[in-house]
Amino acid sequence: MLDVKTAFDELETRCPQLGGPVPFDYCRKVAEGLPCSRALICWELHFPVGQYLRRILTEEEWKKAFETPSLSRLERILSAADRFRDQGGG
Amino acid sequence: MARKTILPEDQIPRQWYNITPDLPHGLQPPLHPGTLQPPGPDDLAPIFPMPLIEQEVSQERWIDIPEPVLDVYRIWRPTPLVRAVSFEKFLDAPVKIYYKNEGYSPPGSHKPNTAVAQAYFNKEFGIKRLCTETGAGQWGSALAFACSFFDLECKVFMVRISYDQKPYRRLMMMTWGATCVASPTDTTDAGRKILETNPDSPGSLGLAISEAVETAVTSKDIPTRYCLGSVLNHVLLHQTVVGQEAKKQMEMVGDYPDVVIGCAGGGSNFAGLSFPFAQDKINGKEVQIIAAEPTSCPTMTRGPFAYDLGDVAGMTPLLAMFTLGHDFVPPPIHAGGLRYHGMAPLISQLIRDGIIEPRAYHNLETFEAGLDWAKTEGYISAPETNHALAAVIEVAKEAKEEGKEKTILVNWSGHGLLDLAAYEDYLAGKLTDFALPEEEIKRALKAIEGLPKPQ
Repeated sequence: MLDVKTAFDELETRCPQLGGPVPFDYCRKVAEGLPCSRALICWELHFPVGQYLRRILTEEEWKKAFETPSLSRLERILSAADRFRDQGGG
Repeated sequence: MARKTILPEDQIPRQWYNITPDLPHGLQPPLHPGTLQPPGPDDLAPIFPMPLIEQEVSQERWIDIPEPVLDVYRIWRPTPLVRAVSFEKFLDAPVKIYYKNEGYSPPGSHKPNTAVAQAYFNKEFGIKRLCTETGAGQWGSALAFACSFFDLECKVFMVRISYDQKPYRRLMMMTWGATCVASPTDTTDAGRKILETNPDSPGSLGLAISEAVETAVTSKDIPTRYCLGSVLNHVLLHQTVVGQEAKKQMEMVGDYPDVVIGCAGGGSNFAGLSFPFAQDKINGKEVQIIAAEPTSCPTMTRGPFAYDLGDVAGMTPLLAMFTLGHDFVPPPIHAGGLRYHGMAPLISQLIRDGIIEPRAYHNLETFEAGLDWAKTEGYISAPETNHALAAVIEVAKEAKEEGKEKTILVNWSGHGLLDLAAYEDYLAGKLTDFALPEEEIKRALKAIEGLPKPQ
């Protein structure tokens, strides 16, 4: 019996961010349990990933993963620096 | 025919070229995600040393390269400009192909051009330790190499999934004296938070960034700053030694490129070769500048518009391939301003200004290009570099079709000797552009057919 949520987990593709192979399982939950914001693009040539993720994600999860603008590298750095400075860092 | 053009050491560029003041329409500043204002020195100072912050926002066209940086550069710079005679013969097209061999550096890529500069400016500013994150390890190993020359501690947060897959890059870092840890770690709040819920977390680049930044910002006993190997203006600036050397070397052989090509992930090697030529183009010279990227991560050609038809790369027929006639068509994900998300802002701006032309290439054709290159020119390229070689092949075919002679200059940005596992997969037929057989797709989709969509 095919497990719906893990149906494509063993497929592999090259992650352009990491520079190495990653299974779909990784991309499906890398962002705190939600898919990588690039999952739709990286996997669309492998299988109908958009359709699939629409089925397994709630509307809220979909929006958080794909419709919330993700931070650029510099924004992420600034955001992290703010967070840790506020926590009493140097 | 001479293959290599060697620039004498005394001709090494003594300034970096800053393209910012030459941009036809200026550069939109990044916004701080908290304040939505351009970040000021106070925002950046806990992360980067002041000299690099000044370079990040500089409007000076030329910035002097300090002598200690040149001293380290001289270990491998100037890099050779090589005429790819055998590849030309193989392609049988009316093209002359020159490549800048940036795999000549000790870590095997272009990355030390900025790593050495960043290490030097941090040292001069009184910093004792540098932190960074790395995916495949190319950047981490370059920074480890650089820190060893300036007596700096170096801590690299390597995404765990890569840490486990790529032991040799990790060992290179350790050989140069760096500490390389698998992210998430239990040494940071960011890492501990993830490990609490998932002790076996494979990590992510975002988390590794958080860990490195947290370490830099919260270190009180050892003055520590963070370093980045791509995207930022000062990183691209440091890479311009590549293009400046190439210009001098092209002059030595009495030639000038019709087409300049580089692969572009975060954009630094591409910028390094192309910006000095982009300056010529801005000033009226005719030169085509192509940034090659993977179709699997088409930041420039399609941005986050995963289903944006009519894209500049002409990828539309492929996009339709897996619509399968189903009723679901995802909406465009982001607004236009994010189209170049992930790419260096300077490069994004030059694309908008029509100075740079992005093109995307499939996984298989890039490895085919890499194998053709290895069999003719001898060098085994990094998988990223293979995208630039795929672009060279495409331009050569276009020249043949047009019956027009072209001179191509390409940045051979790094060797692939630590990426042989990817070649193994390709040679074993494990890599495909369309990984899943149709019947498998149908089987998997059948399983989810009729399921209620979660609310």
